[in-house]
Amino acid sequence: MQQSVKGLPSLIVLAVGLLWPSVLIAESTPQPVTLNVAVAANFAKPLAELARDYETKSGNTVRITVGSSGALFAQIVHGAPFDVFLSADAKRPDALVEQGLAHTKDALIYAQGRLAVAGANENGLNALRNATDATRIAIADPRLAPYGSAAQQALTAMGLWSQLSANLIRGSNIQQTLQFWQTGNVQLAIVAASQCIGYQLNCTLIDAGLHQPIIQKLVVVSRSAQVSAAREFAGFMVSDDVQQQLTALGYLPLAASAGKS
Amino acid sequence: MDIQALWLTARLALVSTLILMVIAVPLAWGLSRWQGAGKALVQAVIALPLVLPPTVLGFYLLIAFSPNNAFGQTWQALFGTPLAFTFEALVIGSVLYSLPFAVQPLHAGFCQLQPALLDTARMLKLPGVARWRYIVLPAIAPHALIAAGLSFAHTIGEFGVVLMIGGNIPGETRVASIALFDHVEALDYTQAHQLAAVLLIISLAMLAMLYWRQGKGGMQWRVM
Repeated sequence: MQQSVKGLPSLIVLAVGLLWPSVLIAESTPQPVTLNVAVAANFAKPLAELARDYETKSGNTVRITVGSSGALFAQIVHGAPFDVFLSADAKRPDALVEQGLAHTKDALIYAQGRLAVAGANENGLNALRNATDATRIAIADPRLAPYGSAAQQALTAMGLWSQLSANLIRGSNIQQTLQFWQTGNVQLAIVAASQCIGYQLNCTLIDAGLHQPIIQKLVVVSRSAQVSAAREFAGFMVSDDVQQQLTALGYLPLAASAGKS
Repeated sequence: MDIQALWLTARLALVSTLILMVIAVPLAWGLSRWQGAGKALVQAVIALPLVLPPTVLGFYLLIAFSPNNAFGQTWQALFGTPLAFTFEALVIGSVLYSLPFAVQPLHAGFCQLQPALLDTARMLKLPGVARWRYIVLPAIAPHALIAAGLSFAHTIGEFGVVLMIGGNIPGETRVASIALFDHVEALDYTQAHQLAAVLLIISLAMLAMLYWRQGKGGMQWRVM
């Protein structure tokens, strides 16, 4: 104890000495930074790919944390050090703006999600219609996950919701929903189209007209120590270049979602 | 209020504790009498849930329960329904997860039992049943109470395992800890506060009662 107190002043001197040059450099040229990005489970696969492009272009590093939108939102509200949050919905980024944790202009639509049925040999929609009592179907929890409530709406629109409600197993996010199917514990799963592409699964797309559009917003967290780099990353995500790639990754690009909303 | 989730949690804890006591008493007794080479390994296996992330157990169970694997297949052949996402699955998970909390106090109790006492009883030609009735059981009763109490409390606190094998089905697998997690994720902090407070009070009351009983027996405060 005695020793560490004695050593403290010299440690401070050492720390200041080490940091000083970098402070000077930061003032002159933009230093590569590490961005902490929180992403909703459905967008984890596409982001991993897109972030690599961004890293090459910007020289910055992207550190990705995957979770459900609800959990990540709660973490940000309670001080988690994320610079950018890619949500699966618009509700939670908007709530961050309302709570003063983000600027209105920093909440941007970056994608519109699509639903798909995984696990059917034939047409997935027919497989849903022909499900027996023994067929177990995984969906994301409609109360927590935007893809879950969209799945509920689609099943309702197909007239299957009440008939299938006893067959449903709820994943706490869309990733767990897929995992229930991958481990063989359910026969069918209603997941994000992006997952089908990311994991090269044979899926059937669900008509986007059967549910409310899954509008996904991102938000730059005002608390971030590197807001300018975070905004640059946000700009990259909504750039034409990235938006064109999103169709191939299982999303509707911005133009389509802007037209509908 | 989440009465259904709380009731389900209580049922799960009760069933798991009963099964655990049936398993743990002979297991702890056998362990306390055994000095074989493999004892340390068996003890380590039983103690694993104390240090292992619950998600590790949950992951292996999810794989094992799948109808693609032998265990899940056998279950489905025997009972006609798949195992994952059922109450039975949670019971299996809880029993494994709380096993050390049941075995360790009982093991300690059996180890403290004076062999001379049993030898004397044997010399006096007291039959086996009577030896258990009058010597073994009274000696380990306080330990059994702690084993049961901790198993029950620990099962109420179970989260990681249930999250992975539960599937969040109301009345079947949505236990209180999962319902609380749901409320927090759904931003329903009012319901989350209510449920969290109820769980806190129940757990505190249970532990306080256990330690109060333990104190009466003249034993010192300790976890196991």
